Amino acid sequence: MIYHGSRLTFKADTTPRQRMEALDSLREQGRTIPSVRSFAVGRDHSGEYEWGAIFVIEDLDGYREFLTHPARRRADRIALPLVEDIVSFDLTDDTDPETGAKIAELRRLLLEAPVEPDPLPDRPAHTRRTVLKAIAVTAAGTAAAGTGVAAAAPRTAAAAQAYAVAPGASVEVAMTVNGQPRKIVLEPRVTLLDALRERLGLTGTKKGCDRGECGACTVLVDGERVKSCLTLAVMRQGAEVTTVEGLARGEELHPVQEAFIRNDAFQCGACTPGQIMSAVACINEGHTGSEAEIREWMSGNLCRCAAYQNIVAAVADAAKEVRR
Amino acid sequence: MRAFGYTVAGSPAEAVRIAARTPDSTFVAGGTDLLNLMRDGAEAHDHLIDVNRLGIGEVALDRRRLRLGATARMRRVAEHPAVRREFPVLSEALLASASPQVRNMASIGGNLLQRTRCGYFRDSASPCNKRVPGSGCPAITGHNRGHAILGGGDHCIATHPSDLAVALTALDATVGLLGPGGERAVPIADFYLLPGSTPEQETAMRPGELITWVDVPRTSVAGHSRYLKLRDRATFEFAVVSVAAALRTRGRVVQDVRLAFGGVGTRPWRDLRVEAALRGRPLTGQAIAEAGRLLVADAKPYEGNRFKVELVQRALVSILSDLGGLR
Repeated sequence: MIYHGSRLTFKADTTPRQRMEALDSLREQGRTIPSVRSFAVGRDHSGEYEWGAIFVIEDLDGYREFLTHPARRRADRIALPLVEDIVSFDLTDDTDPETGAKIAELRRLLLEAPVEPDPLPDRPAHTRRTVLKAIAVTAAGTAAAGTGVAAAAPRTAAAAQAYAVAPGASVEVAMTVNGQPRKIVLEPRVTLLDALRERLGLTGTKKGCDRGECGACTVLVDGERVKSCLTLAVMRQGAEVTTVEGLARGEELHPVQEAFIRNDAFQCGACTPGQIMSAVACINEGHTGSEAEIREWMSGNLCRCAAYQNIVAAVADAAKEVRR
Repeated sequence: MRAFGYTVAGSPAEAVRIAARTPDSTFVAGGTDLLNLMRDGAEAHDHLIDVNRLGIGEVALDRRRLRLGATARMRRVAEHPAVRREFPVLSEALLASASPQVRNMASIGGNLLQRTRCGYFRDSASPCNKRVPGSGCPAITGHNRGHAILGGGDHCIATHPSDLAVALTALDATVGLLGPGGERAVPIADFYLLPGSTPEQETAMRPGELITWVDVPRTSVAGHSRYLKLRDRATFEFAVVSVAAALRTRGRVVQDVRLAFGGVGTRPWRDLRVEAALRGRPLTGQAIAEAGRLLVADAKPYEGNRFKVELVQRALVSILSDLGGLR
């Protein structure tokens, strides 16, 4: 079978206990987690750089097939070597679950392992993709098909000054969304917008152009308005994010939401969440002195129904309300 | 977007070290241009190195210069009291750029390194000498309304889109770089390259180098400066033509003048002959008109951008008349 599902990575210094806690917390979030806790220690071998990532891989054969599959190698220009060796190892077996003696030993073996040359003859050298050399470590008796997973330990990843994620690997991103601490496991290429909509189910934030031109995806990050399609979720580790779902206090709407309703400041509504989030920031920034000023400072939000007249009126109206 | 790896670097030296050993990697600060370039296939990177935690985001003024940290956000620089007071053209150029959201995200270093808006460059299905060297330039005979009338050639006529770079060019800024070979400082006049036969090489940066700061010398002329940006809609648009100008006069006589132009050249355009034509003379409509004619003397307009020859001269008249109190 072809391996499917995501790989999550741990930082190398994450202890077995932290790994188990991380897997448990993912399970609590309703994610499919492998039944057997097994790992592969990865090494980036374009250079001497060591990622220190340890992947949870349940279906080792499937994973190897996935990595070596010609279609994937062609598509991603990924090179061998891949899974090198199989060592029986179960996380729960570690003699020292606090420091992870077995993991340390595997890391040492990994660093000593020789680097294979790139066997793809037709790949130009300068397009060389970062290659993962992996020593697979799996629990004895693991054979069942399933998804491979790994995870960054929540606290260690969030607190780390520097960390790395290999291409194709995933990482856990911790952020506060609408006041709630959330953890999302995702690849670096996932935008904040997609993380909010597709992973957290917060579909109030809209995807319009997905290239920073329309403003429908506007959210507040650490109190400032940003276009969530133009930032990667992984770059917002530890951030405080507010979406349109986070404005109301229970049944009581935010003054900007009230003002949009009062002024009939929308037609189809697709741009409205972005307009509202932008308006909240615009008012906080103090750019509501005149109609012209509001128009200038709301210019990052387009409305294809052209309800601008009423949007400007709503922002001016809400600004009065907020200042009161 | 194709899959890529990601590393958060903890210091400038570490960022440069990681870049040196990671093939096909690039730095990311705001990501506001980079993400679109990668989506469009105009650029491909296997690895992004996040430079937001390097401690190079401060804005500081000392006796001799203003220093903009490379990861300072556009908004912070535009709002900075010292920038507004002593370098208004920088603040105005920044506030005329992008949207409030993007100005909260985009960094100074990234602003300088944003890629051209040329539609052929951004469309990975089109030939483009900048994107795929040797593949040709469809803009020369195609849609070239947004393209350069100065500094182009048979290989490329794309303009540089940064407003900030135009303002920094007028003020003789210096770009600080850190790379595998160590630190160096490059005057902005040497930072952007003419396309020549290698339009893919846009700056003097060497592989693996990171912008760490931009310095602007403190001068009295910078305090009397403005940015005029002409575009196809009132706001949230790239320049068709722009002018950054700083002017110091005594009586009517021009003591010092600095001029740089956007939207007309293949790089932020400065022509010292134009400034020399004004310096030491009374600032009159005639003097400005003569300077403007000098500016476009070597212009090579194309079918779609012929209007820029006249427009840039009118923009010069407008901004200098305002700055010089002629109207």
